[in-house]
Amino acid sequence: MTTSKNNYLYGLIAFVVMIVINFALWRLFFAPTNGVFKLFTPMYGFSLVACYFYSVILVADIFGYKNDTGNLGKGVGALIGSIAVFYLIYYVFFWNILGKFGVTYFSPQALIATGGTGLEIWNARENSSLAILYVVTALIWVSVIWNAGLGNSPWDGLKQSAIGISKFFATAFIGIIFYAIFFHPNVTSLFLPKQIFAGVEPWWAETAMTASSFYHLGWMFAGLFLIMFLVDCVDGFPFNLFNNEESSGSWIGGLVALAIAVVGGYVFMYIAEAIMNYYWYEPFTGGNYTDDPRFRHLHVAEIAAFFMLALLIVKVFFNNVFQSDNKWLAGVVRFVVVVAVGMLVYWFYYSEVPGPKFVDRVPGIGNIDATSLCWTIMSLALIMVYDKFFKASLMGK
Amino acid sequence: MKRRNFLKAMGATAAGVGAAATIGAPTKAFARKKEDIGECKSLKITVLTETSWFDNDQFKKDIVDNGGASTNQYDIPWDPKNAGGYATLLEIEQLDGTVNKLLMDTGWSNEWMDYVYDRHGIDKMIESGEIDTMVLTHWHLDHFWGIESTLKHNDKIKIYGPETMYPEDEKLLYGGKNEAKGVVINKNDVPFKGELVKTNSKQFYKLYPGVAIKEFDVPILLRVRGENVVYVNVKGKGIVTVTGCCHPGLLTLYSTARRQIKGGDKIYGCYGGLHISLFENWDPKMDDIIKGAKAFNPVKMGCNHCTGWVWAENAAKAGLPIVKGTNEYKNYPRQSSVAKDTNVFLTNGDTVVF
Repeated sequence: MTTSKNNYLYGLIAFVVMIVINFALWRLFFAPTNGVFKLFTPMYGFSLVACYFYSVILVADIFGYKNDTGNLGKGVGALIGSIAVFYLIYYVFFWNILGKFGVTYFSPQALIATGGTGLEIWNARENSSLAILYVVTALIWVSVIWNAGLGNSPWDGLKQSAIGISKFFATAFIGIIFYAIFFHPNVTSLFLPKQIFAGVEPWWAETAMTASSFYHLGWMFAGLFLIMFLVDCVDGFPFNLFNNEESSGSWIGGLVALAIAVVGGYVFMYIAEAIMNYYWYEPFTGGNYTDDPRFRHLHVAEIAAFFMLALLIVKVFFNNVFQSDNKWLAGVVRFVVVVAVGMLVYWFYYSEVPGPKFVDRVPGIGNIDATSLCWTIMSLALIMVYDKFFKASLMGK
Repeated sequence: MKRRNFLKAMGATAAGVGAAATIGAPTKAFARKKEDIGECKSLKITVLTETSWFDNDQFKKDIVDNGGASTNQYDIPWDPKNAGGYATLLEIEQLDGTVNKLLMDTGWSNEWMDYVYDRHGIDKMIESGEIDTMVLTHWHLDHFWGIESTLKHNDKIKIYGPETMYPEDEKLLYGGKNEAKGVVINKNDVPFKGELVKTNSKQFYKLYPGVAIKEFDVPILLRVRGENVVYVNVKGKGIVTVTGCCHPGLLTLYSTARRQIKGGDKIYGCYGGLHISLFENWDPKMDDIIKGAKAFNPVKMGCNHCTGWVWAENAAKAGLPIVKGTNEYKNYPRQSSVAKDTNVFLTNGDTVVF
C-alpha cells in the first residue's frame, strides 16, 4: 500500500465511522443495561462474538475469500457468508446437532433436559456458551498459527476451494485436540457430579491455582497477539525465512509459529502477572475479583486482546504508522506504538467514566462477569470485516 | 510443580523482567499500616431473614427475561409475590458487658419486613433507640428496597451505605418510588432524615470497640457497585466477617483482614451470604473456594442466602466448619424453594454466637 496524507485521512475517517458502528452494534446486541437484546450475560455474548470472529477467519483466511478487488458486491457476499457460517456453526452445529446427538454440554436445551443440578435456562446456556467459547478459541488459535507459519502449505498450487477445505479440516483436527487437552476438563467440572469418566480432573489446577481453563485462555491469547504482530507489523518474520518461491509457508515455519505462540504466550503471561502481583499482591486459590487467579489469567487474555485491537487499529486504519527500510527499526517502533495504543484502550475501558459509559458497564476491575473480551473481540471482528471484505472497495483500490 | 516455578522455567528473560518488577520495590503489603479496630467479648447473630426471594426459578426468570446478570435492577419488573428480604441483627458484647445492637440491611418487601421486624421485636428496638444504626451492605433490591419498614420506626436512624449509590437509590431513600416497564417496583413514603455515612474503600469505619466497617469497591451484578463488610474482632478468638452478600469474596475478606487489621492473622469465622452458588449451580471456582477456605483455618462458618445450598453441602462434606441451622424457619409463613433438610444454612430465626 502506498502511503500518502490521504491514506491517513481516509483511515482516520474510517476509524471514526468504525467507532460509531461499534457503539451501535454493542448497544443493539450486547449492552447489559441500555442495550436492546442484552446478550452479554456474559458467556453467551462472549461465545457469540468469538464464534463470529472465527467465522471471519474461516471465510477470509482459511477459505481465502477476501475482497481485494474493490468489488463491493463481493464484500457484501463475504459478510453475508461469514454470518451464515457463524449461524451454522453456533446454532445448527453446536446447539442442534452436536449438543443434541453427541456431546450434551454444547446444547442448552439438551442440558436442561438432563435435569441436572442447577441446569435451568440461564446456567445451561452459560455452560454451553463456555464450552463453545473454548472450542472456537482453540480453533482460532490453531488457524492463526497455521496461517502465520504454513500459509497454504502443503497445498500451494491447488484450487482455492481445495486449499480451504484442506486447511479447514487440518486446523479443525488439531484444534479439537487442543480443546480436549486444555479446555474439556474444565467443562466436565461444571457439573455435579463431575464427569470424571468423560474428562480428567483439570491437570493444571495446582500450577494455575484454579481448575478453570482461563489459565489457558491467558497464554493462548497472549500468543495470538504475538503471532498477529509478527504477521501484520513485521511482514511475517521469522516464519517467512523458511518459505521458498513456490510456497506460502512451510512446516518449519509452522513449528516456529507454534513455538512462539506457546513460549511467547507464557512469557507474556509471566510478565503481565508479575506486574499484576505488584499492584494487587499475589492471588490465592478461591480469591475473588483481583485476588482471583482465574481473573489474573483472564486479565492476561484481556490485555492481549487490547493489544490485538490496538494492532489492528494501527495496521488497518493508519498503515502501521511508521515506515522504514530498516525492518528491525520499523518493528520496534510499531511494537512500541501498538503497546502504547493498547494501554490507551485499556485505560479507556477501565476509566471511571468514558469507558463505562461507552460500553455500558459498572466501573471497576476484576469482575469476570463483565469481562472486556466480549467487547474487544467484537471490535476485532468488526475491523477484520472492514479490512478483509470492504477496505479495498471503500478505499478505491 | 508449583505455578511460580513452572512459569519461571518458561524463560530466563521473563524471569529477569519479572524479578525487576516484583523485587525492585517493596509491595504495598509491607507499606500499609495495620488498623487497630479493638476487641469485643462476643458477637451474637440473629438471622431475621435470609430469604430474599422464595422461588429461585422465578427470580432467575425475572433476571434472564430482562437482560441477564449485568442489567439494571431498576429496569426489571420483578414479581412482587416473590419478594422477601435480607436482614440481620448483630449483638456485640463489649469487654465491660455492654451490649450494642446493630441492624444490617432492611430487606426487600415491606410486607415481609414488617412481619419479620414484628416477629423479632426489631420495630420496638428501632423506635426506642436500642438500635440506632443500620449498616446497609449494598444497594441491591433485597437488602435495601424494604427501607420504609425501617424508617417508619425511626426516620433518623444512622445509615452506613456505600458511596457508590445511584439516583434511583437516592430517590427511594429520601421518599419516592421507582417503576420498571410501567410497574411500581418499590416505594418509600417515609423520607430519610438522618445521617447517611457514605463509605469508601480507603478507610475503616469504627463503630464500637472490635467492630468496624470496610467498604469494598467492586462491580456487582444488576448494575450495583460496592459492598460494606462488618469486621468483628472477638477477643481470644479472632476475626469474624459479617456480610450481606459477600460479593468481594470471603477469602478476599479474610486476606484483607490479615493484611490490614491488627490481629487479623487469626481468622475465626464468618456469617452471611457468601455469594458462591447463588443459583445452585456448580463451577470449578467453587472447588477453589473450598480449597482456599481451608487454608485460613476458620473455626465457625455460618452461611445462607446467596451462598448456595449446594456449595454449603459440599463445603461441609469437605470438612469446613459449616454451622448447621435448625428447623425454626419452618415456623415462618413462607420458606425458600431451595431449603433442604441438610440444614447447612443458618436460616430464618436461627442464631449463632462467635
